[in-house]
Amino acid sequence: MARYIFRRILQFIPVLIAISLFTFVLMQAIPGGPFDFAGDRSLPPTIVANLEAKYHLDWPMWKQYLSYMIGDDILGEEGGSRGVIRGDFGPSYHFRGQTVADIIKITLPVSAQLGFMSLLLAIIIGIPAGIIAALNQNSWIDYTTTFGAVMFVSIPNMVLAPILIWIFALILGWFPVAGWGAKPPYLLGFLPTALNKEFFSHAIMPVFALGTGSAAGIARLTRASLLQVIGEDYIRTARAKGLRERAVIVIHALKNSLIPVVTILGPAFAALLTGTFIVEQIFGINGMGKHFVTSVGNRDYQVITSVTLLYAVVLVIANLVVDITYAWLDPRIRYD
Amino acid sequence: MRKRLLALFSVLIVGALVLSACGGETVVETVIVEKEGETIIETVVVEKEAEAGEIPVTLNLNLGTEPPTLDPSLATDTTSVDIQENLFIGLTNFNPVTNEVEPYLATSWDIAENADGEQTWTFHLRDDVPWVKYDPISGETTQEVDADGNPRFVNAYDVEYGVKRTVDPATGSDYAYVTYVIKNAAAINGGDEELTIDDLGVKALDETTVEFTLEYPAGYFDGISTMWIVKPMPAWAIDEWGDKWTEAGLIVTSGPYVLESWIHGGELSLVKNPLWIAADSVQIERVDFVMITEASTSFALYENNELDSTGVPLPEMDRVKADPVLSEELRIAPVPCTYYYGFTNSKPPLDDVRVRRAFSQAIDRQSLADNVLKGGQIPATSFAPPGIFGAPEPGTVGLGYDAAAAKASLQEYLDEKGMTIDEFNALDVVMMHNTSEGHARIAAAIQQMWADVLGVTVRVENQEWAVYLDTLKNTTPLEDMPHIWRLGWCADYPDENNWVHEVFNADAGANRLRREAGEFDALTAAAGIEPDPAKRAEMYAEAERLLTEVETAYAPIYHYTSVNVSKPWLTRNFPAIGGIDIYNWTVDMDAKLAAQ
Repeated sequence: MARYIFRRILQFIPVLIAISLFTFVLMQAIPGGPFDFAGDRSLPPTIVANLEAKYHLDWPMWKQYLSYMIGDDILGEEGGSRGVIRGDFGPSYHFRGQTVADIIKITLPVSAQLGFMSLLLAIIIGIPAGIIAALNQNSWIDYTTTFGAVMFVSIPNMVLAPILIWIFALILGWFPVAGWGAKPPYLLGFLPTALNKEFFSHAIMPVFALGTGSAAGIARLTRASLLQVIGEDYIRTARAKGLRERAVIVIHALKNSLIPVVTILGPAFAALLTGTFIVEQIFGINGMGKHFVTSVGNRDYQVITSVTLLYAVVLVIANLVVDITYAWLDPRIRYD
Repeated sequence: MRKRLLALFSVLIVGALVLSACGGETVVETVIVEKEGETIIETVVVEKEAEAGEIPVTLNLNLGTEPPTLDPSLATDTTSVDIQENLFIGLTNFNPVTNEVEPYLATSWDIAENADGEQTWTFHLRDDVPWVKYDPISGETTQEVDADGNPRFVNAYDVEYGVKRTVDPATGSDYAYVTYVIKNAAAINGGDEELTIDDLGVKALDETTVEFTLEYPAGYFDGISTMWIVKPMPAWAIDEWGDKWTEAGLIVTSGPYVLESWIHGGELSLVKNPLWIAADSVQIERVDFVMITEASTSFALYENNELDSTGVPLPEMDRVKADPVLSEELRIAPVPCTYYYGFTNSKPPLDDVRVRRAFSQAIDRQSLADNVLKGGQIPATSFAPPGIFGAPEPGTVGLGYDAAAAKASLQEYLDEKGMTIDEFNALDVVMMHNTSEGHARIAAAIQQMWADVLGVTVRVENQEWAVYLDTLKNTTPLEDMPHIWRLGWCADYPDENNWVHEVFNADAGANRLRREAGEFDALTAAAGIEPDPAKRAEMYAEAERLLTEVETAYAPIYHYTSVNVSKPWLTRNFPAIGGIDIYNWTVDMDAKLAAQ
């Protein structure tokens, strides 16, 4: 197993290099540069030239990419970049004076807290709901659960979130309208320093908005998968040898039926953890989601490449964890 | 084993959370620490006693977005400039009501001509404005001292330094081009190797006198002297901290407020500067800004009494106007910006003035403001909005809505060319805007007006903003240019030079209209250097007339407004030039607390 993990981690390197290269090249291929305009107006060519020289955008693209990845000193060039390999993601072109690392340090923990709680909510609601529905197939419980799941999958966040604000913040006054209850610095760099009323009252609505959609998906998948597993031969064997129904389901059927669920949890984890644009925007949460979107419009090359790279890292690690979990869930899968 | 590790890890995390939750009152601070021989800035948690006593007079506002910078040399956007106006003193300032240039750091200024025949502007400065720094840990604002321990006051050398810093190409200032009126600024900023930064036409003659030598006479230089890019700047702080000098705890400022904290992308707080020259007249003691992009969320916060003033989202407009309370709190104020449709003057069929006139006169601007924009926008017939020096009153110059004239104008063109309207439509006229719901709504309305009045079919396209600006460059091949395109312009300084000359002059501007330089261009260039204000105003009015009535090179559509609601306990200004002069506002704290 250790060998398998080691081999997989080595495989990450070419994947991540390819992703960073693609993002970097594609980004620069879009017409318009970061300094062609300031807000609502375009800038004169001399000004654009000064800014491009300052940020080395006048270098050939291969040199810019290497400067970004390995740093200027290794490249033998004048410049302050220490390279991604040494944790320097470069400056932001739009937020002058801030580095990409500064931005990630402030926004990623907020997104991670929100995403982690949402995923937890999705699992806590989704898996039991799916099991109950499957075990009561074609009963009113099944229909109700399925109806609820279809409804929550179908309601987009941009509709659900303002409705939540309207009902629970403006009319009932239970929760604050917007904002996030934890502020930097964070414990261990990503955890809120205090899990108090302030934190949870701010978190409930966005976590609900974000978590219910995923919960619905998980419930549907769990139900379908469990129904399929229950029809397998080894379940019949387990029942035939006289095991109690409860043991059949919990020990034999459930574990196996979670494989498809775990498979989607990997990408879902990566997506939720690195931030979601709409929920963060509507609830005014200072997360990383907005940087995936606004940095493209701003042509903030280093921000785009870095957040994409970060997302890729979380994704490959999450998928590795998923693969390892397979072996635990299904004894037939072995990696050695 | 694996399970046990997992359990241990969980216990650790939960334990850490519980421990931290028991920590009591904690506050986040930015501090400077020595680490491994390096001085770095760190954010730490410190224990802080809750201050007893009265709640300070607090203003809660939404900035809408993270200010991209608090460095006066680098700011380009209103969010950054709004904060800077409250943090830094400027050479001069606009009167929020009359919009006239008033003394600020400079108590007076004279215009003269030097021995070389160049125009000079000499500003005489007051000597009692302290440079201050706010300490987030002690919560105190102290005056800066120099190496010898003498208190630092804002002086002429700080002004000289600030201007030079903006012009220096190494600074990378987006707005440096506005300073090109200063002698040698364009050459130095453009990287001319013959000149050094000391050849720039700005010089501190002594502590309280600074002299600007201009490249060419400019009657509007007092307007430029109000701008953020020529503010005095603290050289020692910038040298010490580099790009990070604008962080809370490091920033050295000179204005009515100091920066208390700045969580990038989340919150920003200002507190009153007790050492400010007019501290007695500053009533609001604390300003807490949030940065919420979503307009409907900002409005919800306002309705929940968490914001004292905010913009009104378009979908809420009808409700606000109908609501007895909200309609009382509504305030529509003009903003010095103009929305316009440019014509590509060299692209057929828009290369004929009759076609352009038809397209401009077919736009019912009042109907657009009433039914689509709904924010009391002023229909525009000329470019510069009211409040800009030299701007004609809206409706006095230029072409407004006139369906019959529009129709006749197009018919005349068609008759001469021997075309039918179907043949005209086969030319496939394209109107382009940058991708945005608001622009799309306006384009759809105007497209319908063109169809109804003229019977022409115009295809509407859109592109993402940066791609769009690239398309509009005057280097784009004519066949790739849309015939008609939308843009807006907002005042940097309130003078026509910043409008018709910088935007539309074929030689001075970007010439997106693709015009041949002519009478108009000679006139705006001459108006810029004309010393007599009355004559200048006349020349600009004539220039506006030439461009809209004679050439109809573009179609002005409307002048912007800001649509705001403010709580009854807030007394605020809406300065004609825009911005938020919080030091002139007041909050009735008792009423505010009672409502909460």
